[in-house]
Amino acid sequence: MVQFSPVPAFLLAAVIALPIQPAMAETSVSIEVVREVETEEGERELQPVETAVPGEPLIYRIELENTDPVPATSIGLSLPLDESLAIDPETVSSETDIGVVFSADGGENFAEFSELSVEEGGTERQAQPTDLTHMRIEIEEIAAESTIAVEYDAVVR
Amino acid sequence: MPLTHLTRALAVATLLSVTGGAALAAGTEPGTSVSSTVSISYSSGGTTITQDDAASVEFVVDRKVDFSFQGQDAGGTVLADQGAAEQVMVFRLENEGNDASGYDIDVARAGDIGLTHDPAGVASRGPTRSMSARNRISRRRMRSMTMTAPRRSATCRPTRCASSRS
Repeated sequence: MVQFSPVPAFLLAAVIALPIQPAMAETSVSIEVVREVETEEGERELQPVETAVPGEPLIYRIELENTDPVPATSIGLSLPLDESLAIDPETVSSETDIGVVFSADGGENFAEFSELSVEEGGTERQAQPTDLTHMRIEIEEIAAESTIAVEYDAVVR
Repeated sequence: MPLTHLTRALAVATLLSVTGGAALAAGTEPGTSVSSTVSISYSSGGTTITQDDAASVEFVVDRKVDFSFQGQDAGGTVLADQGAAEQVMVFRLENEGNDASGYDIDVARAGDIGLTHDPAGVASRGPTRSMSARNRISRRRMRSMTMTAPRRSATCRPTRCASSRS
């Protein structure tokens, strides 16, 4: 007959008192703006931007990092767009599938760029990049312990 | 009277030097901060997590010095009758930068021809044989300049306009 040694009561109580929590992903986000330069060796290099002049092509890069061993899902990024900046909505891209919608009315309504219109002088017209006020990016999932980057082009107005 | 096609080339070497100023119409003013902020929300373990203003980046708009300087005569050439006086060449200087900028245009000419500069764009006669124009031009502004060749018939062609950044 097998005999079990009794579990100390204090240990049992401690185990029962532990809250059961589901594993959660911790996702961090960073954003940088860079310009593409060509090195003396003819190679492409991205340099951080501290100052820029109107019309200069810039690249924005958003990096999302999920540091935990479980996936993060239904990720949404929201960015108000500086009025001194004109982004190229066709260049918003990532190595994974993303959904991108824009607003031209201060974040009230969002739609894909091709379907976005603005009212001007009593008539509606197709939105232009300079009309955009906000951008939303939707990503279905970031796998456990992985990183996703989103890039888009912009110029100073 | 027959038209003389540029018997004498006016070699217009234009040097545009820039000093001081504030900017071009089409551009954001220098010193403006441009910031981008990103907020994120995501689901994990049945919980929705939201981080407002989770990350941001900022840069400052720099001064852009940029001019265009163009002859306004068709083909950049003025055809003049032999012996005609007061032949007028019109140029347009446009500040395409984002700040007002000073300019200094020096025009040299070849041949027996005099030049007069009229910054107001209205021709007036003068005895000069070379021309120098210095002033400031505001952002998003353009200025018409007139040069008058008072004595000899000539075809005048601005050949070069260079701008320098300050």
